[in-house]
Amino acid sequence: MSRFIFHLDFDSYFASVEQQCNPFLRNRPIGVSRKPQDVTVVAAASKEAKLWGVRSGMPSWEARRLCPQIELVAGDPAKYLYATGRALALLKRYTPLIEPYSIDEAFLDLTDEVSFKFNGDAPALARRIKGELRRELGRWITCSIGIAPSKVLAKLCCEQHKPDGIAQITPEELPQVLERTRATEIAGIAQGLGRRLYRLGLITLAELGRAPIEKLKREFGVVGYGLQAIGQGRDPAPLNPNLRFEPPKSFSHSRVISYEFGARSWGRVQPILYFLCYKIARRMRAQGYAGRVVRLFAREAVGADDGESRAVQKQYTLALPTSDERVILNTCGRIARLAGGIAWPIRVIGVAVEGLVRQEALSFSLFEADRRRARLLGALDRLNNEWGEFTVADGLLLYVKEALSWEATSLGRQREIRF
Amino acid sequence: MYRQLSEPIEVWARFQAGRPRIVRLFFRRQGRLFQVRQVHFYHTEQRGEALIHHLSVTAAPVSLSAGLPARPRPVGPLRCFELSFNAKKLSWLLEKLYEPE
Repeated sequence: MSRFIFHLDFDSYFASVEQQCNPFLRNRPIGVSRKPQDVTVVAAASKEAKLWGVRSGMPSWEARRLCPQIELVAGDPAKYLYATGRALALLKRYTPLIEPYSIDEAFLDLTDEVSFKFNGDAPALARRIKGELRRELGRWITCSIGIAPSKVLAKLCCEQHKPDGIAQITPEELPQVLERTRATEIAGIAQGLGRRLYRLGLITLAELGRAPIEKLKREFGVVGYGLQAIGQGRDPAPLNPNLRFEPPKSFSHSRVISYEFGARSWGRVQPILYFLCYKIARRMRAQGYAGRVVRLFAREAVGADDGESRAVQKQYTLALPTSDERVILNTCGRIARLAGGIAWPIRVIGVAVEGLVRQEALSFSLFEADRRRARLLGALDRLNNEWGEFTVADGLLLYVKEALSWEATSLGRQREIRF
Repeated sequence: MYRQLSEPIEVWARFQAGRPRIVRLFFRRQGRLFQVRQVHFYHTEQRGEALIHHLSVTAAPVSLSAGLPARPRPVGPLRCFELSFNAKKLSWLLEKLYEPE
């Protein structure tokens, strides 16, 4: 029996939520950003702004150039996380097989529901889900639903029918869809991979599916198996409803830095980096983890002659696992000194901590200084847990205090959405 | 654009008898009484141990010189606000006010 995988994607999510909250913003081009007064990035553009060419991730000055009447409003991550939690709770009434993919996207396996209750009419179920979501969240928060036998195709189908659409790829239509779809239209096959496939003469999904596995393995390694599965309309990774219950592999945070901020030196970006380290360490301690591998990554602001800016990343393995923001920051400093060669200014900076172990598995430190530091961090965490984030914080964080209201909650952490 | 206010406010709510439903909601700001016309969105947020309830509403100033009639007469334009209720402190704040550009 063919599966009915639904991909549900909210349209212009953050902007739609803001339009739902405020009737004065409806039917107008708006953008959601971190700090509307400053030069920043448009995190989400409304459907009306998209008609003017404004896209998510675009610098605000460019958005204003394309659409002078655009209104930028400050985002409120708590609001979006809550709305996502409510939407997922509603979807859970239909199936427990839900894989949240990001804050505004989820995959659902509704094979049983469609087969037994809707007599195979998947679009009818999609219409009912959309209606219920509208009643639950408000009519300005719309979503698109793609239905297909696999996750990859459901997502493709959904993206091609935005906004507020419903579309299905049936098993009968699958061969034609694979023949006419370019491999680069699939999420996860970016330009670099697309170019390599093009050089091999593999342009459409069907060509990819027909390619001998030895050829794909030789060129892409184990990724070749996944690529062939996509080309044959199968999922390289099946829907996993337990993904959010699985232990994390890493903790990471990154930040786009505005040109005006001028990230021209290590000293200039250090407070931002400390803030990222703080958020990582705080989440690690809350979930009971410590990590040994610290990875620092950055993207240069100005590209070389070919126009593409360079991304640099390096990692360092510590002798002992840590969940202390100071240790993570100092390790980042060490990595930056060892790596060198970065062309300032930089546009994006990020930190990740990997090689995770449970804190219970760590041995007790013999040094009093370490034990005192651990007691201090524990006390600070208890204060912040009781009275709210940043009630007590390191003085270095004062340099980025203005960013805290937005940054206190990070987006895209689908594992931490409660539903 | 939004103006962040975080002003403590006095809120009056009238509940429907026998049901957990607010039929009328008023708040006082700078000596003026506003009646909430519509709640457009509701969300909660955990701030430390406190659960904060947020209401995105449109409200208009009303005159209550002749007591509380069934439909108070608006004496000003409709505006958009965000109210919050701290369930730990049992206090209301006027978080944000939207001023059209």
